[in-house]
Amino acid sequence: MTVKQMILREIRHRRVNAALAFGGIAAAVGLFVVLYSEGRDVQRETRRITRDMGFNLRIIPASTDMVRFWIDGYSQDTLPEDSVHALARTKGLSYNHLIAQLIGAIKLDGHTFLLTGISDELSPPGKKKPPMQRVVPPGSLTLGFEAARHLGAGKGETVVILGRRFTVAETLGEAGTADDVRIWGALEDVQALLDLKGRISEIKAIDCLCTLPENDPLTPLRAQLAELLPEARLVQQRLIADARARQRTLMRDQQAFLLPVVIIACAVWIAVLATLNVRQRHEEIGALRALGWASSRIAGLFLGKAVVLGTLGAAVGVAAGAGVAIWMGPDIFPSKATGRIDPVLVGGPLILAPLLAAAASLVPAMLAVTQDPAVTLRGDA
Amino acid sequence: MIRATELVKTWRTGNREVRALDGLDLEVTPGEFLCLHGPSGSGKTTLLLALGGMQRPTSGTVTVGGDDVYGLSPADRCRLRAERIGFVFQLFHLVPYLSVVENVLLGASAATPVEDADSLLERLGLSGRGHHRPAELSAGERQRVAIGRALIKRPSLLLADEPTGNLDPAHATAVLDHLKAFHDEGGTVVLVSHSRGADRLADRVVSLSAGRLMEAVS
Ligand SMILES: Nc1ncnc2c1ncn2[C@@H]1O[C@H](COP(=O)(O)OP(=O)(O)OP(=O)(O)O)[C@@H](O)[C@H]1O
Ligand SMILES: [Mg+2]
Repeated sequence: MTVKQMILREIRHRRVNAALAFGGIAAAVGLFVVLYSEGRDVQRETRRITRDMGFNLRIIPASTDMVRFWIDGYSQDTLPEDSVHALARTKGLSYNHLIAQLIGAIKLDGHTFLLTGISDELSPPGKKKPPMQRVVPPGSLTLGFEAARHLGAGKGETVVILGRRFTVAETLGEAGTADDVRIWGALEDVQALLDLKGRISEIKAIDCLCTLPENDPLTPLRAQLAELLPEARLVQQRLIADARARQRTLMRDQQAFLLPVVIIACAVWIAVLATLNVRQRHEEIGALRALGWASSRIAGLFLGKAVVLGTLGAAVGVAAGAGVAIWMGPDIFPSKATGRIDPVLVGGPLILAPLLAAAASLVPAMLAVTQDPAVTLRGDA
Repeated sequence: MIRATELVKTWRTGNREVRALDGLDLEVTPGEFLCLHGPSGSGKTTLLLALGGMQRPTSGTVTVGGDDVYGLSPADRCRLRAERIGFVFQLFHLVPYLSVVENVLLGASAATPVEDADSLLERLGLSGRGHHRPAELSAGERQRVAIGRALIKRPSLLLADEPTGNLDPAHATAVLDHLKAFHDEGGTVVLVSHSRGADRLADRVVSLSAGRLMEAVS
């Protein structure tokens, strides 16, 4: 009888013990796979949602009259356009998704609109991210809801603004914000229209620190800006920034809490079952010792069993977990679920679950080999 | 030759000390059939386990065939048990998930052919039961399987602890007959038993009392 044969026989003989251990491992691995891959989908989804909340940082000229800024919604002063490139060139910048804007109020048909020129999105070196804002090609405009209504122009039609002809690239639905009275154009077009060549009124950005409000995120951001652009000042849209930061840390904390809980619960379960198994097998252990089995060989019976059940449990757990994640993930996250499983999630449990099971069985196995044979073999038990 | 010299084994439970063996000396010559008597708790099982390298004494030495059993490395002590000593217990201690043949082969080296186990089982009156599980056998049959497991490696020493204690007289006689057969082929037997039948087989009967050896009874 080899140890391997004995392990397989014992598993078949004590089916309930083996099934409980196997089921525990499979459930834990399955749960781990689901939690982990759904967690990643949730994270991706969260990132998308928080990104859609918009830019949370506005870098405006330091000379801005802040009272007017808040009434008008934009600065009357300007910064050189170069400043956005200066920021974008800086390594280690705590800002992302940089966009230069030039804003000016214009009157059309007796109504005031916010003419807004936007640059392409810039990112500091090494922080290239997918763009957050649609670009407006030169020669065209995007019309906010009210602007489109008053100008009576649809997509592809031509409008004349301050004596220049533009094609309407897009008309937007109702946003419920000042964006409804906005007319977007390419930065250089708007600079020409407003006669402010090479000037911008603000830089919009997202901070990538994601610091919670209690940790004072503004001070380091302001310090960095003061060094790079002394002629600018920073306004942070606290609600957006805080929501982003809270949501992200929440996600991280939840995963950091749940995954270890699953692993620890599984390890405890295996340890309990292995201990019960050792107690059930006192007589057998005593008999094997009497037959001259070395302690390592006896321990091998228990550790080997853990490895076998760990491997089987991981295989079934990965399959079940992946199945749930693939079939049910898209229902929970219709837009963004990838429906794909990270290969690490397949290989990882297959290697780690047997090791974890063996580690959890180590103490019971030590109990098995160190127990006094006199206790089990005295016969009058 | 098996020799135990000044064996002491104490157990400590709480602050109470139990002397299971209390300075015991014993010699068993090769080929001898020794029967051990003694009241419950007198240290019979403790002595048997100590002789077989299963229970390190608190002090004293055990030599088997010239080897100081507790001076050996753990691996050598395992080998000593695996090759030269057979154990039989009152409660059989068969491995429940292995068949009868497999239980017997568990006592042999990996190279032992199945036929050896089969012929041994036949001699023990268990032919045809080889593929049964221990749970499917009577107590007497189980004990004969346990004897087969102890004997398949052809040990020089057989240590049996009340092997007939759980058996009816007919099965007890059968078990003793097998021990006798082993002895007749030159094996050394140390048997703990209270039965008259065992005494009749023995070359020598000794009695244990409170961890010491009393005078020979016969
Ligand atoms: N593991 C142990 N822990 C504490 N005391 C023990 C242990 N094993 C044996 N003893 C004590 O040692 C003494 C001798 O026990 P042993 O089992 O050798 O007696 P025995 O002669 O075989 O008895 P029985 O005829 O009932 O089998 C007893 O008092 C017993 O309580
Ligand atoms: Mg006893």
